[in-house]
Amino acid sequence: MMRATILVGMAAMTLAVCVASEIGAPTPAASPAERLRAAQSAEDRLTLRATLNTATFSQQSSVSSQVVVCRKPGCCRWEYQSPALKGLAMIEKGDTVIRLDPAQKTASAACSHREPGRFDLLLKNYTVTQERTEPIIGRAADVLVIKHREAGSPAKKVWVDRATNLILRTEYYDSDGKLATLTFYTDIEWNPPLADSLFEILDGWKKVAVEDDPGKHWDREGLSREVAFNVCEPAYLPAGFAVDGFHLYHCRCGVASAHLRYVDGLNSVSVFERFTQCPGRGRGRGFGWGKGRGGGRNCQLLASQPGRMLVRQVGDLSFILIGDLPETELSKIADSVK
Amino acid sequence: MKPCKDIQNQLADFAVGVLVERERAEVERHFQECPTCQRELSALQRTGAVLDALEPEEAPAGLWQSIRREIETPKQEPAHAPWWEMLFPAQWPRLAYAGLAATAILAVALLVTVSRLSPAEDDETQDFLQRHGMLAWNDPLSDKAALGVMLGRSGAGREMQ
Repeated sequence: MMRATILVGMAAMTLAVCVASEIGAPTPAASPAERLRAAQSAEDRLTLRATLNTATFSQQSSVSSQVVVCRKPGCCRWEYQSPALKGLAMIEKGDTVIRLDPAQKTASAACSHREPGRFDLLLKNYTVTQERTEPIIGRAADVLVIKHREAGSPAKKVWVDRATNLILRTEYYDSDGKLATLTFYTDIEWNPPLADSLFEILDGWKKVAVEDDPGKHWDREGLSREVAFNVCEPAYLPAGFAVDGFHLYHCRCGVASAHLRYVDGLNSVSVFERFTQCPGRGRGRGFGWGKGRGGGRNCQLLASQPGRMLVRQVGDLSFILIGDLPETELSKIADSVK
Repeated sequence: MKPCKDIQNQLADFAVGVLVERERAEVERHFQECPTCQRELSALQRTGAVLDALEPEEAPAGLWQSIRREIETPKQEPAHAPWWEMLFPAQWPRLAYAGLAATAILAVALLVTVSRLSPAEDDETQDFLQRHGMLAWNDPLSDKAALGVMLGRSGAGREMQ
Protein backbone atom coordinates (compact mmCIF):
# COMPACT_ATOMS: atom_id res chain seq x y z
CA MET A 1 0.00 0.00 0.00
CA MET A 2 2.81 2.40 1.03
CA ARG A 3 4.81 1.55 -2.12
CA ALA A 4 1.78 2.31 -4.30
CA THR A 5 1.32 5.69 -2.55
CA ILE A 6 4.98 6.58 -3.11
CA LEU A 7 4.74 5.60 -6.79
CA VAL A 8 1.60 7.68 -7.27
CA GLY A 9 3.28 10.62 -5.52
CA MET A 10 6.36 10.38 -7.72
CA ALA A 11 4.23 10.15 -10.85
CA ALA A 12 2.27 13.24 -9.75
CA MET A 13 5.51 15.17 -9.14
CA THR A 14 6.91 14.16 -12.54
CA LEU A 15 3.66 15.23 -14.19
CA ALA A 16 3.73 18.56 -12.34
CA VAL A 17 7.30 19.27 -13.51
CA CYS A 18 6.38 18.37 -17.10
CA VAL A 19 3.30 20.61 -17.03
CA ALA A 20 5.32 23.46 -15.46
CA SER A 21 7.99 23.29 -18.16
CA GLU A 22 5.31 23.07 -20.86
CA ILE A 23 3.57 26.26 -19.73
CA GLY A 24 6.90 28.00 -19.23
CA ALA A 25 6.90 28.31 -15.45
CA PRO A 26 10.41 28.16 -14.00
CA THR A 27 11.68 24.94 -12.48
CA PRO A 28 13.52 25.51 -9.21
CA ALA A 29 16.87 24.33 -10.64
CA ALA A 30 16.83 26.57 -13.73
CA SER A 31 20.02 28.62 -14.13
CA PRO A 32 19.76 32.36 -14.87
CA ALA A 33 20.70 31.66 -18.52
CA GLU A 34 17.95 29.03 -18.78
CA ARG A 35 15.49 31.43 -17.16
CA LEU A 36 16.45 34.04 -19.74
CA ARG A 37 16.03 31.59 -22.61
CA ALA A 38 12.58 30.65 -21.32
CA ALA A 39 11.68 34.36 -20.96
CA GLN A 40 12.83 35.00 -24.52
CA SER A 41 10.25 32.58 -25.90
CA ALA A 42 7.49 33.01 -23.30
CA GLU A 43 5.69 35.86 -25.00
CA ASP A 44 5.03 33.70 -28.07
CA ARG A 45 2.81 31.40 -25.99
CA LEU A 46 0.83 33.93 -24.00
CA THR A 47 -2.49 35.64 -24.63
CA LEU A 48 -2.95 38.98 -22.90
CA ARG A 49 -4.07 42.56 -23.11
CA ALA A 50 -1.86 44.92 -21.14
CA THR A 51 -0.66 48.45 -20.64
CA LEU A 52 3.01 49.24 -20.57
CA ASN A 53 5.10 52.35 -20.40
CA THR A 54 8.20 52.90 -22.44
CA ALA A 55 10.77 55.68 -22.31
CA THR A 56 13.93 56.34 -24.30
CA PHE A 57 16.49 58.74 -22.85
CA SER A 58 19.12 60.56 -24.85
CA GLN A 59 21.40 63.53 -24.24
CA GLN A 60 19.03 65.91 -25.98
CA SER A 61 15.60 64.66 -24.94
CA SER A 62 13.50 61.79 -23.69
CA VAL A 63 10.56 60.23 -25.47
CA SER A 64 7.95 58.23 -23.61
CA SER A 65 4.60 56.67 -24.34
CA GLN A 66 2.00 54.48 -22.78
CA VAL A 67 1.32 51.47 -24.99
CA VAL A 68 -1.67 49.13 -25.12
CA VAL A 69 -0.45 45.64 -26.01
CA CYS A 70 -2.64 42.84 -27.38
CA ARG A 71 -0.82 39.56 -27.68
CA LYS A 72 -1.74 36.03 -28.67
CA PRO A 73 0.41 33.16 -29.95
CA GLY A 74 2.09 34.18 -33.21
CA CYS A 75 1.01 37.82 -33.25
CA CYS A 76 1.05 41.02 -31.25
CA ARG A 77 -0.23 44.57 -31.60
CA TRP A 78 1.17 47.69 -29.89
CA GLU A 79 -0.98 50.86 -29.84
CA TYR A 80 0.91 53.98 -28.81
CA GLN A 81 -1.08 56.42 -26.69
CA SER A 82 1.29 59.38 -26.74
CA PRO A 83 -0.24 62.34 -28.67
CA ALA A 84 3.17 62.91 -30.29
CA LEU A 85 2.91 59.52 -32.02
CA LYS A 86 -0.52 60.35 -33.49
CA GLY A 87 -2.18 56.97 -33.07
CA LEU A 88 0.75 54.87 -34.33
CA ALA A 89 0.30 51.11 -34.06
CA MET A 90 2.70 48.25 -34.78
CA ILE A 91 1.64 44.69 -35.63
CA GLU A 92 3.92 41.67 -35.52
CA LYS A 93 2.90 38.47 -37.31
CA GLY A 94 5.62 35.88 -37.40
CA ASP A 95 8.65 37.55 -38.98
CA THR A 96 6.61 40.40 -40.50
CA VAL A 97 6.41 43.76 -38.75
CA ILE A 98 3.73 46.21 -39.89
CA ARG A 99 3.70 49.88 -38.98
CA LEU A 100 0.22 51.46 -39.12
CA ASP A 101 0.18 55.23 -39.59
CA PRO A 102 -3.41 56.45 -39.11
CA ALA A 103 -2.57 59.98 -40.30
CA GLN A 104 -1.58 58.71 -43.77
CA LYS A 105 -3.66 55.52 -43.53
CA THR A 106 -0.60 53.57 -44.61
CA ALA A 107 0.61 50.14 -43.52
CA SER A 108 4.38 49.67 -43.99
CA ALA A 109 5.52 46.06 -43.87
CA ALA A 110 9.06 44.82 -43.32
CA CYS A 111 10.68 41.52 -42.43
CA SER A 112 12.88 40.71 -39.45
CA HIS A 113 13.99 37.10 -39.15
CA ARG A 114 14.31 35.32 -35.82
CA GLU A 115 17.64 33.54 -35.78
CA PRO A 116 17.92 31.09 -32.86
CA GLY A 117 21.73 31.30 -33.09
CA ARG A 118 21.66 34.93 -31.92
CA PHE A 119 20.62 33.87 -28.42
CA ASP A 120 23.56 31.45 -28.20
CA LEU A 121 25.80 34.32 -29.32
CA LEU A 122 24.34 36.44 -26.52
CA LEU A 123 25.20 33.77 -23.95
CA LYS A 124 28.72 33.55 -25.38
CA ASN A 125 29.35 37.29 -25.13
CA TYR A 126 27.32 38.23 -22.05
CA THR A 127 27.02 36.95 -18.50
CA VAL A 128 23.57 36.35 -17.03
CA THR A 129 23.16 36.56 -13.28
CA GLN A 130 20.16 36.62 -11.00
CA GLU A 131 20.33 39.68 -8.80
CA ARG A 132 17.26 39.25 -6.64
CA THR A 133 13.56 38.43 -6.63
CA GLU A 134 11.14 41.28 -6.13
CA PRO A 135 7.45 42.03 -6.66
CA ILE A 136 6.36 44.04 -9.66
CA ILE A 137 2.70 44.86 -10.35
CA GLY A 138 1.89 42.42 -7.57
CA ARG A 139 3.77 39.49 -9.16
CA ALA A 140 6.99 37.82 -8.02
CA ALA A 141 9.74 38.47 -10.56
CA ASP A 142 13.37 37.37 -10.84
CA VAL A 143 15.69 40.23 -11.72
CA LEU A 144 18.25 38.98 -14.26
CA VAL A 145 21.26 41.09 -15.20
CA ILE A 146 22.87 40.61 -18.63
CA LYS A 147 26.32 42.22 -18.87
CA HIS A 148 28.97 42.26 -21.57
CA ARG A 149 31.68 39.83 -20.43
CA GLU A 150 34.59 42.18 -21.17
CA ALA A 151 33.33 45.73 -21.23
CA GLY A 152 30.50 45.43 -18.66
CA SER A 153 28.27 47.42 -21.01
CA PRO A 154 25.99 47.49 -22.82
CA ALA A 155 23.90 45.76 -20.22
CA LYS A 156 20.29 44.86 -19.70
CA LYS A 157 18.19 44.14 -16.64
CA VAL A 158 15.00 42.15 -17.04
CA TRP A 159 12.32 41.35 -14.49
CA VAL A 160 11.02 37.86 -15.36
CA ASP A 161 7.62 36.82 -14.02
CA ARG A 162 8.08 33.63 -11.97
CA ALA A 163 4.66 32.29 -12.95
CA THR A 164 4.68 32.80 -16.73
CA ASN A 165 8.26 33.85 -17.67
CA LEU A 166 6.89 37.04 -19.26
CA ILE A 167 9.39 39.91 -19.06
CA LEU A 168 7.57 42.50 -16.94
CA ARG A 169 10.20 45.22 -17.02
CA THR A 170 13.42 45.93 -18.92
CA GLU A 171 16.18 48.47 -18.47
CA TYR A 172 18.82 48.90 -21.17
CA TYR A 173 22.15 50.53 -20.30
CA ASP A 174 24.05 51.74 -23.35
CA SER A 175 27.74 51.37 -24.13
CA ASP A 176 28.41 54.47 -22.00
CA GLY A 177 26.69 52.75 -19.05
CA LYS A 178 23.75 55.17 -19.05
CA LEU A 179 20.10 54.10 -18.76
CA ALA A 180 18.90 54.42 -22.36
CA THR A 181 15.52 52.68 -22.48
CA LEU A 182 13.06 51.60 -19.84
CA THR A 183 9.86 49.62 -20.41
CA PHE A 184 7.50 48.19 -17.80
CA TYR A 185 3.97 46.79 -17.57
CA THR A 186 1.48 48.57 -15.38
CA ASP A 187 -1.43 46.13 -15.72
CA ILE A 188 -2.09 42.83 -17.44
CA GLU A 189 -5.34 41.06 -18.30
CA TRP A 190 -4.68 37.37 -18.97
CA ASN A 191 -6.44 35.41 -21.73
CA PRO A 192 -8.91 38.06 -22.92
CA PRO A 193 -10.86 37.51 -26.15
CA LEU A 194 -8.86 39.20 -28.99
CA ALA A 195 -10.41 39.64 -32.44
CA ASP A 196 -8.32 38.51 -35.43
CA SER A 197 -8.94 41.91 -37.05
CA LEU A 198 -6.60 43.48 -34.47
CA PHE A 199 -3.70 41.78 -36.24
CA GLU A 200 -4.75 42.48 -39.84
CA ILE A 201 -4.39 45.44 -42.20
CA LEU A 202 -7.96 46.61 -42.63
CA ASP A 203 -9.55 47.43 -46.00
CA GLY A 204 -8.89 50.97 -47.16
CA TRP A 205 -5.31 51.13 -45.87
CA LYS A 206 -2.52 51.72 -48.39
CA LYS A 207 0.13 48.97 -48.20
CA VAL A 208 3.72 50.16 -48.40
CA ALA A 209 6.84 48.02 -48.84
CA VAL A 210 10.03 49.20 -47.18
CA GLU A 211 12.34 46.63 -48.76
CA ASP A 212 12.74 44.95 -52.13
CA ASP A 213 13.26 41.36 -51.12
CA PRO A 214 11.99 41.07 -47.56
CA GLY A 215 14.47 39.26 -45.39
CA LYS A 216 16.69 38.11 -48.27
CA HIS A 217 20.35 37.51 -47.41
CA TRP A 218 22.78 38.34 -50.20
CA ASP A 219 26.33 37.21 -50.81
CA ARG A 220 28.96 39.89 -51.30
CA GLU A 221 29.31 39.37 -55.07
CA GLY A 222 25.58 39.42 -55.77
CA LEU A 223 25.13 42.52 -53.63
CA SER A 224 28.07 44.25 -55.38
CA ARG A 225 26.35 43.68 -58.73
CA GLU A 226 23.09 45.19 -57.43
CA VAL A 227 24.68 48.34 -55.99
CA ALA A 228 27.16 48.69 -58.91
CA PHE A 229 30.32 48.95 -56.79
CA ASN A 230 32.45 46.49 -54.84
CA VAL A 231 30.94 46.07 -51.42
CA CYS A 232 33.64 46.45 -48.77
CA GLU A 233 33.71 44.61 -45.45
CA PRO A 234 35.29 45.92 -42.27
CA ALA A 235 38.50 44.08 -41.37
CA TYR A 236 38.00 45.02 -37.71
CA LEU A 237 34.99 44.15 -35.56
CA PRO A 238 34.77 44.53 -31.77
CA ALA A 239 35.22 41.26 -29.84
CA GLY A 240 32.20 38.95 -30.03
CA PHE A 241 30.57 40.45 -33.13
CA ALA A 242 29.74 38.19 -36.07
CA VAL A 243 28.14 38.69 -39.50
CA ASP A 244 24.35 38.56 -39.31
CA GLY A 245 23.66 39.18 -42.98
CA PHE A 246 24.15 41.32 -46.09
CA HIS A 247 21.05 43.08 -47.39
CA LEU A 248 19.99 45.34 -50.26
CA TYR A 249 18.28 48.55 -49.25
CA HIS A 250 16.97 51.50 -51.26
CA CYS A 251 16.66 54.83 -49.47
CA ARG A 252 13.71 57.06 -50.31
CA CYS A 253 15.57 58.82 -53.15
CA GLY A 254 16.07 55.47 -54.86
CA VAL A 255 19.82 55.00 -54.36
CA ALA A 256 20.71 51.34 -53.74
CA SER A 257 22.71 50.72 -50.58
CA ALA A 258 24.49 47.66 -49.28
CA HIS A 259 23.51 46.98 -45.66
CA LEU A 260 26.01 44.85 -43.74
CA ARG A 261 24.76 43.84 -40.33
CA TYR A 262 26.85 42.50 -37.45
CA VAL A 263 25.54 41.26 -34.08
CA ASP A 264 26.89 40.14 -30.72
CA GLY A 265 23.59 38.80 -29.39
CA LEU A 266 22.38 41.92 -27.57
CA ASN A 267 23.92 44.69 -29.67
CA SER A 268 24.16 45.25 -33.41
CA VAL A 269 26.15 47.36 -35.85
CA SER A 270 24.98 48.37 -39.32
CA VAL A 271 27.35 49.41 -42.09
CA PHE A 272 25.55 51.05 -45.01
CA GLU A 273 27.52 51.63 -48.20
CA ARG A 274 26.30 53.58 -51.20
CA PHE A 275 27.16 56.16 -53.80
CA THR A 276 27.17 59.62 -52.21
CA GLN A 277 25.33 61.25 -55.06
CA CYS A 278 21.61 61.16 -54.53
CA PRO A 279 19.43 61.87 -57.61
CA GLY A 280 16.93 64.64 -57.03
CA ARG A 281 18.55 65.82 -53.83
CA GLY A 282 21.84 67.19 -55.07
CA ARG A 283 25.38 66.04 -54.50
CA GLY A 284 26.62 66.34 -51.00
CA ARG A 285 23.21 66.74 -49.49
CA GLY A 286 22.66 64.67 -46.38
CA PHE A 287 25.96 62.85 -46.04
CA GLY A 288 28.26 65.41 -47.60
CA TRP A 289 29.33 66.69 -44.22
CA GLY A 290 31.99 64.07 -43.64
CA LYS A 291 33.60 64.93 -46.95
CA GLY A 292 37.33 65.32 -47.14
CA ARG A 293 37.96 64.39 -43.53
CA GLY A 294 39.34 61.11 -42.36
CA GLY A 295 37.55 61.39 -39.04
CA GLY A 296 36.85 64.72 -37.45
CA ARG A 297 33.56 65.57 -35.79
CA ASN A 298 31.34 63.26 -37.80
CA CYS A 299 30.32 60.82 -35.08
CA GLN A 300 27.12 61.73 -33.29
CA LEU A 301 24.99 60.34 -30.50
CA LEU A 302 21.54 59.40 -31.76
CA ALA A 303 18.49 61.24 -30.49
CA SER A 304 15.87 58.57 -31.13
CA GLN A 305 17.61 55.38 -30.01
CA PRO A 306 20.68 54.29 -28.05
CA GLY A 307 23.91 54.49 -29.98
CA ARG A 308 25.92 56.56 -32.39
CA MET A 309 26.14 57.21 -36.09
CA LEU A 310 29.40 57.78 -37.93
CA VAL A 311 29.66 58.87 -41.56
CA ARG A 312 32.73 58.58 -43.79
CA GLN A 313 33.12 59.53 -47.40
CA VAL A 314 35.79 57.86 -49.49
CA GLY A 315 35.86 58.92 -53.14
CA ASP A 316 32.33 58.59 -54.51
CA LEU A 317 31.16 56.27 -51.74
CA SER A 318 29.60 57.03 -48.39
CA PHE A 319 29.87 54.68 -45.41
CA ILE A 320 27.27 55.11 -42.68
CA LEU A 321 27.89 53.18 -39.45
CA ILE A 322 25.21 52.87 -36.77
CA GLY A 323 25.54 51.02 -33.49
CA ASP A 324 25.71 51.30 -29.74
CA LEU A 325 29.50 51.41 -29.49
CA PRO A 326 31.99 53.93 -28.14
CA GLU A 327 33.13 56.46 -30.73
CA THR A 328 36.64 54.93 -30.83
CA GLU A 329 35.26 51.50 -31.73
CA LEU A 330 32.99 52.86 -34.49
CA SER A 331 35.97 54.79 -35.89
CA LYS A 332 38.13 51.66 -35.85
CA ILE A 333 35.48 49.76 -37.80
CA ALA A 334 35.16 52.63 -40.30
CA ASP A 335 38.94 52.85 -40.72
CA SER A 336 39.11 49.13 -41.46
CA VAL A 337 36.45 49.06 -44.21
CA LYS A 338 38.29 47.88 -47.30
CA MET B 1 -1.44 52.22 -8.13
CA LYS B 2 -2.31 55.88 -8.69
CA PRO B 3 -1.55 57.22 -12.19
CA CYS B 4 1.67 59.23 -12.65
CA LYS B 5 -0.30 62.40 -13.45
CA ASP B 6 -1.91 62.40 -9.98
CA ILE B 7 1.37 61.62 -8.25
CA GLN B 8 3.22 64.37 -10.11
CA ASN B 9 0.62 66.90 -8.93
CA GLN B 10 1.58 65.96 -5.37
CA LEU B 11 5.35 65.87 -5.85
CA ALA B 12 6.02 69.46 -4.75
CA ASP B 13 4.01 68.94 -1.54
CA PHE B 14 5.78 65.62 -0.99
CA ALA B 15 9.19 67.24 -1.44
CA VAL B 16 8.52 69.86 1.23
CA GLY B 17 6.86 67.33 3.56
CA VAL B 18 3.35 68.78 3.79
CA LEU B 19 1.41 65.71 2.64
CA VAL B 20 -0.73 63.88 5.18
CA GLU B 21 0.44 60.41 6.20
CA ARG B 22 -1.96 58.52 3.88
CA GLU B 23 -1.04 60.60 0.82
CA ARG B 24 2.65 60.34 1.64
CA ALA B 25 2.41 56.54 1.85
CA GLU B 26 0.62 56.44 -1.53
CA VAL B 27 3.35 58.47 -3.19
CA GLU B 28 6.08 56.32 -1.61
CA ARG B 29 4.34 53.16 -2.84
CA HIS B 30 4.19 54.66 -6.32
CA PHE B 31 7.93 55.39 -6.27
CA GLN B 32 8.70 51.72 -5.70
CA GLU B 33 7.41 50.92 -9.17
CA CYS B 34 7.88 54.17 -11.07
CA PRO B 35 11.39 55.46 -11.77
CA THR B 36 9.98 58.28 -13.89
CA CYS B 37 8.28 59.88 -10.89
CA GLN B 38 11.37 59.16 -8.80
CA ARG B 39 13.44 61.13 -11.29
CA GLU B 40 10.89 63.98 -11.22
CA LEU B 41 11.22 64.10 -7.45
CA SER B 42 15.04 64.09 -7.61
CA ALA B 43 14.97 66.98 -10.09
CA LEU B 44 12.58 68.88 -7.84
CA GLN B 45 14.74 68.26 -4.78
CA ARG B 46 17.89 69.37 -6.63
CA THR B 47 16.18 72.60 -7.69
CA GLY B 48 14.99 73.15 -4.12
CA ALA B 49 18.52 72.59 -2.79
CA VAL B 50 19.92 75.18 -5.21
CA LEU B 51 17.29 77.73 -4.18
CA ASP B 52 17.88 77.00 -0.49
CA ALA B 53 21.59 77.63 -0.93
CA LEU B 54 21.05 81.19 -2.19
CA GLU B 55 21.61 83.98 0.35
CA PRO B 56 18.62 86.34 0.72
CA GLU B 57 19.46 89.80 -0.63
CA GLU B 58 18.35 93.10 0.88
CA ALA B 59 16.44 95.34 -1.54
CA PRO B 60 18.14 98.74 -2.04
CA ALA B 61 16.72 101.59 0.03
CA GLY B 62 14.09 103.57 -1.84
CA LEU B 63 13.29 100.76 -4.32
CA TRP B 64 9.60 100.57 -3.50
CA GLN B 65 9.20 104.37 -3.64
CA SER B 66 10.78 104.50 -7.09
CA ILE B 67 8.54 101.65 -8.36
CA ARG B 68 5.49 103.43 -7.04
CA ARG B 69 6.58 106.71 -8.66
CA GLU B 70 7.10 104.89 -11.98
CA ILE B 71 3.58 103.40 -11.84
CA GLU B 72 1.84 106.62 -10.87
CA THR B 73 3.60 109.01 -13.27
CA PRO B 74 1.53 109.40 -16.49
CA LYS B 75 3.40 108.13 -19.57
CA GLN B 76 4.24 110.60 -22.34
CA GLU B 77 3.99 109.52 -25.97
CA PRO B 78 7.50 109.52 -27.42
CA ALA B 79 8.08 111.78 -30.44
CA HIS B 80 8.20 109.75 -33.69
CA ALA B 81 11.73 109.26 -34.95
CA PRO B 82 12.62 108.13 -38.48
CA TRP B 83 12.77 104.30 -38.79
CA TRP B 84 16.51 104.27 -39.50
CA GLU B 85 17.16 106.08 -36.24
CA MET B 86 15.03 103.55 -34.39
CA LEU B 87 16.96 100.69 -35.98
CA PHE B 88 20.39 102.29 -35.72
CA PRO B 89 20.34 104.88 -32.88
CA ALA B 90 22.91 107.60 -33.46
CA GLN B 91 24.08 107.45 -29.84
CA TRP B 92 25.31 103.84 -30.26
CA PRO B 93 29.08 103.63 -30.74
CA ARG B 94 30.44 102.18 -33.97
CA LEU B 95 31.79 99.21 -32.01
CA ALA B 96 28.22 98.17 -31.16
CA TYR B 97 27.28 98.03 -34.87
CA ALA B 98 30.41 96.02 -35.61
CA GLY B 99 29.43 93.63 -32.79
CA LEU B 100 25.90 93.28 -34.19
CA ALA B 101 27.23 92.46 -37.65
CA ALA B 102 29.71 89.90 -36.26
CA THR B 103 26.93 88.24 -34.21
CA ALA B 104 24.69 88.00 -37.28
CA ILE B 105 27.48 86.40 -39.33
CA LEU B 106 28.25 83.96 -36.51
CA ALA B 107 24.58 83.02 -36.15
CA VAL B 108 24.26 82.28 -39.88
CA ALA B 109 27.49 80.26 -39.85
CA LEU B 110 26.28 78.30 -36.80
CA LEU B 111 22.93 77.55 -38.42
CA VAL B 112 24.63 76.29 -41.58
CA THR B 113 27.08 74.16 -39.57
CA VAL B 114 24.40 72.67 -37.34
CA SER B 115 22.17 71.81 -40.30
CA ARG B 116 25.14 70.05 -41.91
CA LEU B 117 26.27 68.25 -38.77
CA SER B 118 22.95 67.09 -37.40
CA PRO B 119 22.09 63.71 -38.89
CA ALA B 120 18.87 63.49 -36.88
CA GLU B 121 17.23 66.18 -38.98
CA ASP B 122 17.90 64.56 -42.32
CA ASP B 123 15.24 62.37 -43.94
CA GLU B 124 17.84 60.06 -45.48
CA THR B 125 19.52 59.61 -42.11
CA GLN B 126 16.16 58.70 -40.61
CA ASP B 127 15.76 56.02 -43.29
CA PHE B 128 19.06 54.39 -42.32
CA LEU B 129 18.26 54.63 -38.60
CA GLN B 130 14.86 53.04 -39.21
CA ARG B 131 16.40 50.29 -41.26
CA HIS B 132 18.92 49.62 -38.48
CA GLY B 133 16.12 49.54 -35.90
CA MET B 134 13.83 47.39 -38.00
CA LEU B 135 16.36 44.58 -38.37
CA ALA B 136 16.91 44.64 -34.60
CA TRP B 137 13.21 43.90 -34.05
CA ASN B 138 13.67 40.16 -33.59
CA ASP B 139 17.06 40.24 -31.90
CA PRO B 140 17.15 38.48 -28.51
CA LEU B 141 15.51 40.54 -25.74
CA SER B 142 14.76 43.43 -28.12
CA ASP B 143 12.55 46.03 -26.49
CA LYS B 144 9.86 46.12 -29.18
CA ALA B 145 7.72 48.77 -27.49
CA ALA B 146 10.71 51.15 -27.46
CA LEU B 147 11.71 50.20 -31.01
CA GLY B 148 8.17 50.98 -32.16
CA VAL B 149 8.51 54.55 -30.84
CA MET B 150 11.67 54.98 -32.88
CA LEU B 151 10.19 53.36 -35.99
CA GLY B 152 7.04 55.42 -35.66
CA ARG B 153 8.76 58.74 -36.05
CA SER B 154 8.75 58.80 -39.84
CA GLY B 155 7.67 56.62 -42.70
CA ALA B 156 9.50 55.49 -45.76
CA GLY B 157 8.77 53.04 -48.50
CA ARG B 158 6.99 52.56 -51.78
CA GLU B 159 3.40 51.66 -52.44
CA MET B 160 2.91 47.94 -53.03
CA GLN B 161 1.29 46.64 -56.22
